[in-house]
Amino acid sequence: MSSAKPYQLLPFRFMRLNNKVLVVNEVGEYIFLSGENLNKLVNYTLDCQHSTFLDLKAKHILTDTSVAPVIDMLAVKYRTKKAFLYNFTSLHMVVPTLRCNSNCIYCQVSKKDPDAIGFDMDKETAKTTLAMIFASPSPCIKIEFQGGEPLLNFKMLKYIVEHSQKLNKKYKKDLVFVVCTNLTLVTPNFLKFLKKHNILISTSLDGQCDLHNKNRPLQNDKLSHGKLVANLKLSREILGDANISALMTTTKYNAMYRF
Amino acid sequence: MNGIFKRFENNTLTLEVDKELYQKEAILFAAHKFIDRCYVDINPSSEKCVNVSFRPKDKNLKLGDFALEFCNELLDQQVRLNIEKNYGNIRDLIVKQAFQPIENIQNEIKI
Repeated sequence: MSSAKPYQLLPFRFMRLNNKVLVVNEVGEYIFLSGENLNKLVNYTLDCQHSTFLDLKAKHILTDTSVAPVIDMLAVKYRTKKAFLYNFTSLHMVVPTLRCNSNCIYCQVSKKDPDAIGFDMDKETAKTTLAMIFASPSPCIKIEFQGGEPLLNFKMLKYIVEHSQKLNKKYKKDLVFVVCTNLTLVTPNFLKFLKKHNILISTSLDGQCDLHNKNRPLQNDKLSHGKLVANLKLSREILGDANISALMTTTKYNAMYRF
Repeated sequence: MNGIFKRFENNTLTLEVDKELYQKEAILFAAHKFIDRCYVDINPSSEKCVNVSFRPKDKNLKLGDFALEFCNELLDQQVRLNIEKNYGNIRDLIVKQAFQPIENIQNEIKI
């Protein structure tokens, strides 16, 4: 470190947000500074006893000790943060159909009506998709069926699962399937298929009946909560509790409900 | 601001930036931030300086505010370049050390 400087800066990026400055380093550690403190930081005039200085030091945006050990520490954090590079892509989203029987208020998908034509995946596309998925060097492959509502094209879902398992006899990867479904269309037969192939369910439950129905009505304003609860119970009976997860999407309406 | 202001005519504000104070990249990055609100033109005016001209897309926008904002943005961009120039070597060493550990890291530090 130069004797003229009371501390050494480490590489960081900054951006002004409203009246603060967001300072971020290579491993994602961040701090909000005042404009005045950013100015002091880059001009080496920060008070080394001040809490801002100590925070910046703790987050490795500056150092007043030898640089080499700090590089070592940041390298470990960087390696952890980028660990996904060792395995390449393992999670793959497959959309068997864009058709959906839900009409969720926060939907961001280009969903189509349940009886729309021309929005289902065909076999050739599915084969090409699987070839690409299995080309991933990752030893673990997770195929997540999304939509639309995947159950509206159960035939294709079934084909993809069975064809994947066939391909996996050659590739021998740790293969996992997840179906993201609103659960309103499940049948015992579908659940038995999931059980046979050890497929997990990921669903959505946004809260109490009124709230869930407000957030996630079905097409034509039909309500989904009753069907969801009944089918969730059935799914848990057939698949077991551990194989189903339900996520909640928070909207402004959540604030109106007290549980 | 007075030192950087050059002229205001035909609803276009021209600022003159000293290339000895600011790198070309800093001027380009700072000017680019305004292209959603202004038509921006950058031209050399002399060996030492470049002209940066702003013509607002919306006539109701105040050009004086742009000039002040541009001056601050220019400083921010130059500070970013200075940080990169002075400490970019450390960032490269962090990445190298993470994936291909360096035998004597002290010898590689250039600050």
